[in-house]
Amino acid sequence: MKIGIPKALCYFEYAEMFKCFFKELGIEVVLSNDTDKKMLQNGIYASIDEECLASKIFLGHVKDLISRKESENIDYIVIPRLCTFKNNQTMCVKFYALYDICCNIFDSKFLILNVDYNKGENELKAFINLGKKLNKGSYETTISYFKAKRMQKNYEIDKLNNQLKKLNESKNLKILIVAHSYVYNDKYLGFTIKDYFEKLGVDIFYADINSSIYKNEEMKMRYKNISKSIYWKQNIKLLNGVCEYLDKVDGIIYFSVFPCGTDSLVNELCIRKVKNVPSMNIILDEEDGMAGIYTRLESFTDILEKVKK
Amino acid sequence: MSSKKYVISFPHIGNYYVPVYNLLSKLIDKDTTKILVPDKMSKNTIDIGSKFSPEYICVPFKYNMGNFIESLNKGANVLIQAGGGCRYGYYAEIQEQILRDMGYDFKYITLLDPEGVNIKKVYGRFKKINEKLKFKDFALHFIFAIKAINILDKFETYIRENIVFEKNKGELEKIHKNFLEELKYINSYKELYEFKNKYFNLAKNAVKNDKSDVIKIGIVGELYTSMEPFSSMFLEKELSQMGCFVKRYTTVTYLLFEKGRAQKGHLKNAKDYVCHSLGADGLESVSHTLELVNNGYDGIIHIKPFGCTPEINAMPILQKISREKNIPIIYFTFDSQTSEAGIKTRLEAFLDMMVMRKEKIKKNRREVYG
Repeated sequence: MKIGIPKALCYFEYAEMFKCFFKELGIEVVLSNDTDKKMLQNGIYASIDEECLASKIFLGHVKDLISRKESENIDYIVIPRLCTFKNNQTMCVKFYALYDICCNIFDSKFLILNVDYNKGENELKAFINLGKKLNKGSYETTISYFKAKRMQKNYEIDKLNNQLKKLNESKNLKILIVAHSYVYNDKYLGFTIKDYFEKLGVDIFYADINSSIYKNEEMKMRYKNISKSIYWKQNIKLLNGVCEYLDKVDGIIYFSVFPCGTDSLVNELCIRKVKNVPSMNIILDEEDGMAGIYTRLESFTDILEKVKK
Repeated sequence: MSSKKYVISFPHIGNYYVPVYNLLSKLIDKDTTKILVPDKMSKNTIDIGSKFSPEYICVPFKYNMGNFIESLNKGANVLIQAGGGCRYGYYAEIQEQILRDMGYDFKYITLLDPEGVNIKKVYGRFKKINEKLKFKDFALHFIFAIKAINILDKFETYIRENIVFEKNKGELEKIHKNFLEELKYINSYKELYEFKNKYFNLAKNAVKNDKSDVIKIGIVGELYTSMEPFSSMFLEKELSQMGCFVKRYTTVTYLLFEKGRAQKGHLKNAKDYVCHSLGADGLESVSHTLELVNNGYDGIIHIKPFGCTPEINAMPILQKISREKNIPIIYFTFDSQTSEAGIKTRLEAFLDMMVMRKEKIKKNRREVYG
């Protein structure tokens, strides 16, 4: 059996986990290709014009998998539906509807991974239900789930240690990127910027990778310094990162896609509250002229260098 | 500027400022506190609101900001925000921060937490303004306010659905205006019921008995643009002036008391298209659309502010319904810069289409039945 996973949105949160989970169950996984211009165009064509850029890209990825369905014998496409989590944390409402939208606009077989703590669907249960639809017993899936979970955790800890090591050793200009994992990990959105900073000789760090993955209440609650009433899971993680790296970096860049619902509020608050570090807000849209963004990044680094001297 | 210690203000939404005024006037200590109803919505409100709001935030935020700034300039120093689901719940913190950065000094009260209404917590917040307030009184007044809102919703629904059939043009509007004026000062349940009967009778007498064939239109979509006529460029009024029957589901009564219970029914109703909640009112939009289709409505208008994610989630599904059930649906997006002329042109074209469609259906039927 073969399943397809679109490499966009929530994939990046669960990347290692998906890989390991399906490998343990003996199911082959096909990932969609990296985002390119054509895929974005396909996504834009399939979506409502006001949707956020990241979800347009997501639909492009689903379309890519569907076009490869025949040639590569993909049986199902898995669409995660992440809603509510522990401690009243929720995701952006876009994630609530991805599965239903895909079912309505595409003609293909989809499987759902439904994580909704408020309705009693915790993560384990969601994976067991997914396993059931793939004809796997709950015992088998439970074991695979815990193995996969451990893999994911180790992967995240590795990533964090690498970043911290880089942060301590780095003598270059240090910039913190505050962006969702699906923005900075995307080949089309995030990588161009990463490459550009490499060219400029600037070390970049991601707020998304931070110590809040450990079971430590103090580290998990750092975000309260910036915002008390926030309830979006991903933005909480980002704010935790901002609090952690704040004193160690020279500048902060807020990256979001147009029109991101959660970032529109949280980044505004963050910019207003964090005042002792220079910051810049960059919003990416589907117009792909990068010259304007490169100019802004370059002048921002120039300013930071002057401040440092 | 008044000499009172506290001046309370709140953002506008539709005509709900009336029951809110009624409630607040009972909760406050009249010696130290004054209620300031914010200025009527105007171009200035939205201009000033969007000037101080984040760039691509949804439009209710901008209207709220406009209301707050106008009130603060008039001397308000206690602001009340409702809160709710999706992004509404997070408005409060950002608005407070922005207003403080602008140099205003005020107290800030939120009514709903993201988890729902917690009456004890709300009481605690009001207690800070009026120390004499007892919990028993607070709860009783709160329940009374809910009843008043309920009656307001019922009356406004009646007006909305019957304004096309009124005997003399403008009569119902006049009755409605008097209704709102009187509702502000009602104090007991007895008064409330007498008042309700009086106005329902008045309204019923102003309406023709003959409810002949008119174009029937349903409005679905986001709650703020549905309930605040200014933000939707007086869409409903425009429609009734063009001679349409207008149906709308979203009211405060519905949102607070019926929505939670109705969720399962909505899921069942929409099961051919949706199997899960789409966030905020997305599922409701889909389910209500299907209901309107089954009830033989001629067309559906879907409204939302720019960037409203739950309603955007519902849109591809509505488009599919429109194709499969062969029902015209028009989508309006409202932002701070929507011009009235553009909306009107699109609306007129939509109506013309529906009239033609209706005639065509009638003709076909005649041919079939001879």
